[in-house]
Amino acid sequence: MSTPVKSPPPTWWTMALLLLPFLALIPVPIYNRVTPAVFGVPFFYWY
Amino acid sequence: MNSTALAVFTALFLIVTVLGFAAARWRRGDLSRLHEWGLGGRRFGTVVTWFLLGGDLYTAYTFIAVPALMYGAGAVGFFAMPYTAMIYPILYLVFPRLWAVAKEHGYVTASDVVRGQFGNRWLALAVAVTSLVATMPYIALQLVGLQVVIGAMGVESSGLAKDLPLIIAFAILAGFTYTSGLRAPAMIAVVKDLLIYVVVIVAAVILPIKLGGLSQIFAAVPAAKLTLAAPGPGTLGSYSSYATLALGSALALFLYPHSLTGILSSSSQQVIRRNAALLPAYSVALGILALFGYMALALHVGDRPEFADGFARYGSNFAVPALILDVFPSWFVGVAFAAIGIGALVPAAVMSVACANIVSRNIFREFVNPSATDAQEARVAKLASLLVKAGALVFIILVPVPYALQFQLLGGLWMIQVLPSVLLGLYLRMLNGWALLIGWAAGTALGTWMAWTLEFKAAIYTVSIFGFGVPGYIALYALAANLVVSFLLSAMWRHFTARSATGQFALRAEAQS
Repeated sequence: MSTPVKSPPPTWWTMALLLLPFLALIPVPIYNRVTPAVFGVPFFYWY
Repeated sequence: MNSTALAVFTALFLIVTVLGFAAARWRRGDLSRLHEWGLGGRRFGTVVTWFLLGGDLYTAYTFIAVPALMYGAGAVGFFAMPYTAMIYPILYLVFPRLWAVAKEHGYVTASDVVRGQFGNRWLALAVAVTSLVATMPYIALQLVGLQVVIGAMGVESSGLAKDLPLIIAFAILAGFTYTSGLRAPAMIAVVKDLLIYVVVIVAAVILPIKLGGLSQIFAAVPAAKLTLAAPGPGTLGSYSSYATLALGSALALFLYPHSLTGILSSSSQQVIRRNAALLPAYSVALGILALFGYMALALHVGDRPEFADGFARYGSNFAVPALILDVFPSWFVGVAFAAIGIGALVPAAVMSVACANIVSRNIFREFVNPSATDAQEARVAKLASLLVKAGALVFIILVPVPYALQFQLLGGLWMIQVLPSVLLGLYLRMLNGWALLIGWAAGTALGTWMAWTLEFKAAIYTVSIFGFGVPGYIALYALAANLVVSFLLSAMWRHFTARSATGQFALRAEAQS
């Protein structure tokens, strides 16, 4: 059975990557549109 | 009745029934101990955890309800995608630490963690009761998914015969959960998830070809539903509704006891982090499944006379079963419906094990028999798991589905109120147990009141900020109030206890001089 390991804190670029979904998805006006569509899939869906 | 589909469905159900009972011998452990029965001995590695968490989070109800929402309401149903994109950074950052604390102290539930962090049994009880109350309707709603696919195969839809398949399925579920604990859904999740991926991949290839391409599918959606409606003047409208619904759902998901049980059953922090990177594969499958709602629109399944009865009974929830029935041969229909049906069993099993852990550890041991042995604890948990399932079955048989949905809506806004004590308590020493309890009460009361003003029919409440309307997910507004109260009262507590300590220090110094 493993004992808990105290992990080093995440690096700044790890934090940036982890914050990316929130930054990209909370501002809805960025992606609330149809164009540009890819293979017929509107931007709102493929984004 | 679709006999071929029913035969395939039944055969796959029998296979998972055998697996469920056989799981008691898998990674053999002493099932008379709560952490072995209720957490699989904390031995699940990356692959098993991936299947278990995936099977646990992406439920039958998800696979029925998300496309149904797309079918009925359009783009707003796609909120499941940003929601599931936001959960994994939270899982990666926060939950390894929660796992480590739980492992070090032998904690089995979130209430255990809160009890240990704050030493406040009433706060821990609040977390426990919230978890139980929020999970019960969720278990019941898994049965809705099972009901829909059983009904779609043409099984009798009235009288006792209507409920008999559900009762049989639940009896099987109760049996293997009692004997095998968390090992049962972990093993069955492998079968369920493989079936789901097979169905999604096959359908994702076949359906667009049949419908003439992806552009034809989206062309069938009314323009007004293809994207979110732009807000009018003086309001953030659908933008804030959509964003807060996704964010609030993401914050709440891993607080549910069934999610936490899956996480605590992992063998290490690294397993959790790896799964935070690997689980998004399920979100890709969910995205494709969501589009099944649009495919059902493109095929006009709602206008077909052969599906009229199904839509009359189940509403938009019948969109995916109708789509599958229309396009695929009977044997594949059986496979797809079995995937959905088994997809109800896995989360229902984990939810009942999680609730049983809470009843045993945080109610029985804390308040009834503090000197309970491990064996007594495990026995109480097994009995509680039966009662929880029986309660959920009675609930869904007797209570109309709209009420179950309203209950689940309330469950979500209640569940998020434990976030400050369960998660923030891991990082912030300044928080006080009593302040958190009052904050929890404030958030729960406010959220429930907001939902009541909407007659429990909607999750979005509009707050006016300097005359500007901000529609938002009730759970987030209630959480904001919770946080303000918790931090304010904690700060006041620290201030007054520091002053009191300083005063006492000064008095002692004066007495000594």
